[in-house]
Amino acid sequence: MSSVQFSTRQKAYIRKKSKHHELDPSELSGELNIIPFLDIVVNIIMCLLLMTAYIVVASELDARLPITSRGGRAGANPEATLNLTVTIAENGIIVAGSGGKLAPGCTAMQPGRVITVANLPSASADLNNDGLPDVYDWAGLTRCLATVKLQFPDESQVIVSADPNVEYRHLIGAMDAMRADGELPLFPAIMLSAGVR
Amino acid sequence: MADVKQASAAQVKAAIRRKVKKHPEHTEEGLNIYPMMDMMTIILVFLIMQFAEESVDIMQSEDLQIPTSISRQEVTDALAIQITRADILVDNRRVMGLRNGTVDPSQKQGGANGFLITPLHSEMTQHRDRLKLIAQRNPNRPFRGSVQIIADRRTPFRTLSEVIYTMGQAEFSELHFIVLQGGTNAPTPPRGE
Repeated sequence: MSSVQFSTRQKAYIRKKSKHHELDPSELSGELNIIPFLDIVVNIIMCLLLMTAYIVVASELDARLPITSRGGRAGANPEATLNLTVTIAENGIIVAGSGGKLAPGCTAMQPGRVITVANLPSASADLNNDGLPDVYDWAGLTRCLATVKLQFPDESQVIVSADPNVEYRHLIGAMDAMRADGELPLFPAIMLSAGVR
Repeated sequence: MADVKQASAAQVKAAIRRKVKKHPEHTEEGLNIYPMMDMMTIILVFLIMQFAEESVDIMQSEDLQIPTSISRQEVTDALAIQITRADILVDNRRVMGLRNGTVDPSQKQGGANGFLITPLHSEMTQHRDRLKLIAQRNPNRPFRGSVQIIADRRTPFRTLSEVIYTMGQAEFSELHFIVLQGGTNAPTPPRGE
């Protein structure tokens, strides 16, 4: 029986040619290794998602400054315009028009010091939009302005003012109450006045 | 005794083939992560777009607690005026200090009874001139005189009216009050009063 013997050179050649290379995953497909990139993207997404917890969902309420007019139009009747004014006082809300202040109920005028929408009794202070107790009867103001709107359906303008110590959140409460009654728009064109009474 | 022969080239090649066959052909075993990467990239782009759309830069703190409103109106991009308990900031730059939300009489024209806040007025005048210059050069960005008011909910109306009066004197008459979206079921904000 004859056998074959490999020389040292042949053995070395066979080892060299049959050597098994462990390939990197990126080399297998012959494309770029995207796993590090994916790691970066996942980390960025994590950061962004964590940041969303600190993001506040904001919206806005629009208002304008009253426009000062120099002189009136010839033949214009100042009494024909409503000139609706809402003043937030310490003890309630005063609603006034060209003819004077509105009495509680908002159907008739009343001279003198009058509070159109009185404050809620502090014991039953309602929670307003920001979850804090609020003595102002915003629902009452909305009802009052809805009554006014029935008589002046074309009017959309209101001037808002407040006592110096009234907090800004109450102004926002008033603006919310004046803009709409549910889906029905009331007086969305809000103008701010400095509050000199 | 067996004959020992020197291996030929063909035998060497056959030996190589035998050895190579011992190692199985590599097959793709890992998951295909390309769809996942596509998905991640889309989420990333979406989140970045969402962050970019947030045109209000509000960082609530003990000194700045924004009131809540039922309004769902989208925020308009405008010059931001922040009124905190301690400062007034215009475009995130501190203009003057406040004492518990009120303006010091020395900062106002006419003292305690005055309405015009002098440092704020000069700052707003500079902004007005800058915005008017931009409007002159770029008709797509006309000067509307609009400002965002980001104020602490405890700010007294007197301070607010002084700021608004000063805005008016600097020809900024369109006011956008920035509020937090909320309703009757809005969560109670942290108590800081």
